[in-house]
Amino acid sequence: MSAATASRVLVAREVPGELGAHGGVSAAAASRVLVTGGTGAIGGAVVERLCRGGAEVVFTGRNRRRGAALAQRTGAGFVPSDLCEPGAPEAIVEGALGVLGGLDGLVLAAGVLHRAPLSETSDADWDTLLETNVVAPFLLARACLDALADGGGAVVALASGTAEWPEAELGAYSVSKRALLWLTRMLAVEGAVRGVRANAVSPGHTADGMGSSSVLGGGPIDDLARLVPLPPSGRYSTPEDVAGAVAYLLSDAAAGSTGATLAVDGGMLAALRAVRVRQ
Amino acid sequence: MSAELRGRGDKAGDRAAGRDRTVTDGALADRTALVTGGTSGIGRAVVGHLSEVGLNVAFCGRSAERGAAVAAATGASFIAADAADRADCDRSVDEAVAQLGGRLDLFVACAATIFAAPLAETPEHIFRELLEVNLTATFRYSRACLAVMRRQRSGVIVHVVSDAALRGIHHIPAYSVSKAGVLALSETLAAEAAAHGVRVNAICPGAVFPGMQTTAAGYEHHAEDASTWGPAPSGRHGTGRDVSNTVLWLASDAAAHVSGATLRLDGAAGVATRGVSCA
Repeated sequence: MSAATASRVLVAREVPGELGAHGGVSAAAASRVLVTGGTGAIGGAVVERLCRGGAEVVFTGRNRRRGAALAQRTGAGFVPSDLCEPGAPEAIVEGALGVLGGLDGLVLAAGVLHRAPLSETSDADWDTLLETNVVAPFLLARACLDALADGGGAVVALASGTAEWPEAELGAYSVSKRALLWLTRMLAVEGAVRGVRANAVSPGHTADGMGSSSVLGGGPIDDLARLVPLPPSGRYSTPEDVAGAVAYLLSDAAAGSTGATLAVDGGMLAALRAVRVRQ
Repeated sequence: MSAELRGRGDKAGDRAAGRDRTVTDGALADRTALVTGGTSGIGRAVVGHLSEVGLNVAFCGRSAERGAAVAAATGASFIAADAADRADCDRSVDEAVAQLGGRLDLFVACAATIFAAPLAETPEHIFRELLEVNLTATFRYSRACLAVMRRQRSGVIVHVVSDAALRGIHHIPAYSVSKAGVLALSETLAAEAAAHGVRVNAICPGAVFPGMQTTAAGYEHHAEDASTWGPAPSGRHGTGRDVSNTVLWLASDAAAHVSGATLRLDGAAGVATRGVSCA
């Protein structure tokens, strides 16, 4: 991507005071962004973060109530949709391009998690995981490539620490996230000559995230510390931590990074058994 | 053939016969094995080598003609099964276990298909086919074989993956994604199977000749031909025998504590490869 292209497209739309208060990365953010899974905890935080930074955002999600509330709060456009329905990814991209008039960023935050070892993974669960976490991102990214290439855009995929360090209790989920990580890397290689960057963010245990919910099984959030070891940092990541990393990778400050994986896990992946349990 | 029967002075004879003595000669005689993708490429070599050292082998493949030829040449039992057909996968494991006398000591997953095109030019049905044949079928076979091995409280699973799962290969991106998933499957399954006395390992070959020539029907020009590539730093391409030797070691008691491992098998190509421009 040439410097001229970058400066033309990656326009800073800073809301004074806001970005500085949220980590102080470059104010320049991709200006027109499609976010999938915006009604989830992390996807929702990404939508909020990008909108605060002045981006125009269209997001998808299955939960209409949460989607409508988020749209009202942030001014982002909401497209209620299930990525696994035939033709949905392409229709979402077409709709987003119609609303935004182009695309500078794609955030693949939609995902599903199934807590089971591989032996106990049913065919239906396996299929849902691969469809949502691998096939839909492929179709979405493929449909966005031309639009992203027009302006040197960026893709950020929400992978997972389990992509690199699989967990037996999250068997098929780990497999799907490794495949998503590889998809991101292959997009990075293929997009490079067209000025498109692609990077992954790998959250660890995130408060309010899917993994935490699956551990709690409907129980109170206070139980989490008893059930899931804390990372070396002494706290779980928050959806806002993850959103900050996504915003950074979309921004001009990350212009030199593509094919990278940014862990947001409080040091969990840094060492084997790098955990400590709250006393 | 056991080392004892051949005696110690047969090395020259072995070389003349194309046999290389391994640490495991004789040690695996009468054990049972199932091999997928056994009618061509690496799988064919694995079927031949396992039969040669005395294992009782069943193997799967799509082509009845090739299957009959391999069976005649090796003495192994052919079970016609298409890895893209889920009912075939399940049925063939049952058939194999019945044919092998109700016991399964070794499962070797070799069946795979390849497609050489950028993601932007990879049709949806091809992406799905690669996931189905390379990843989902491997999952289904492994799940079924693990169930048998858990009952025995012993067994070895070997996944023949690819160096594309260690570092994506730019001209076969969808294949790389599918193989990355298989490697994560192998690691995750190893963690799960360990408590049941079952070991699971992955072999990641580089360019093997003769290797994969299996691609989607109608897309023969998307196949790979390793013979057109330069040799590895070792001065040659890999062979099916390189892979089968490694399978035999992993299957043997010499590797009793090896599980969850990934063996790069590429004549140092992976450590020497640098990033390439795809322009």
